Amino acid sequence: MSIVVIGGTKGGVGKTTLATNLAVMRSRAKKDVLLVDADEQGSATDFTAVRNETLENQGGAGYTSIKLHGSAVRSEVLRLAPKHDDTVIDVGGRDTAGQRAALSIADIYLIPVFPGSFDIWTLESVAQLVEEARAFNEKIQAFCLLNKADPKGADNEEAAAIAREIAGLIYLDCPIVNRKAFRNGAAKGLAVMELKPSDSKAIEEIEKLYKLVFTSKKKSK
Amino acid sequence: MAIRRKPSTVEEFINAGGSPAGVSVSPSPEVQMSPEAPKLEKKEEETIAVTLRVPKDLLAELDAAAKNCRPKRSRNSWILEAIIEKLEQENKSE
Repeated sequence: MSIVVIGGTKGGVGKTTLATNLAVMRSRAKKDVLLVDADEQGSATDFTAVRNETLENQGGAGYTSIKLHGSAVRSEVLRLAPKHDDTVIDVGGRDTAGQRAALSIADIYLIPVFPGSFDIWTLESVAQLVEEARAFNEKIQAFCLLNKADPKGADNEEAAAIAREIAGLIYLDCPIVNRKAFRNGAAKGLAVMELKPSDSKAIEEIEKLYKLVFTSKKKSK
Repeated sequence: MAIRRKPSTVEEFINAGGSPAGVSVSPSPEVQMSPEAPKLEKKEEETIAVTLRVPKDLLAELDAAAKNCRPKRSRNSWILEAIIEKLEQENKSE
């Protein structure tokens, strides 16, 4: 059983896209998944609603979706997580009580970051938040990765170089490129590997992340 | 340099985070109560969500002030402190 939190303090970096794709992929691996929408925008809940409609004849979303806020993220997930194989929590892009509550119980904290200066700069404050959370949650492992990355050019590597220097965060070398397949999937409530026609590069990237999150052995820094 | 104490309990750590929808912002200098609006965290304490309309430049000033506080304040905490200070001031002058 693992609790995976997709967070950070910057909005619009694709947290919900990663959270929903990972939740769907985990459920396709026959795992009983709980997807927690702890973002006030409720996009993960919207995704699930659309997914239920799209897959109405195939049994619906394939995972359990709930919406929680504030300290209820901690108390309810502590109660519900043991009843599921894995829990994926999508939190909003601000330092909220909900995000902190999620950090206090997370096994894995994934911080997607756009390869731009303003976004990369937020990693230091996120690392500080993780350090505070460690006082109450020793098991937390915090990873950052580039999301909505450029298909090519030097910005990705420059951003990665800065991200690698942030103490307390482990940089995952699996950039997810800004691809239309993710947006098309979101519109239909589908993960990228469920989309037709398929985008092999998008699938390859998200599968690499999935393996690092769910099947890799625990990392240490 | 001010020294910030680490939160001593998990509740303290969680509550140090900002409220997700307690304060939303649009550029108009009015305060509007919306009791039907977000029911977030209602269970935890007796709070009510308020939609606060703030001019953009004032908000930027507010955020900068909150950020420069030691320890750093969330926008919500900063506004709450300002309200409390104002109320105390009003009460004193009565």
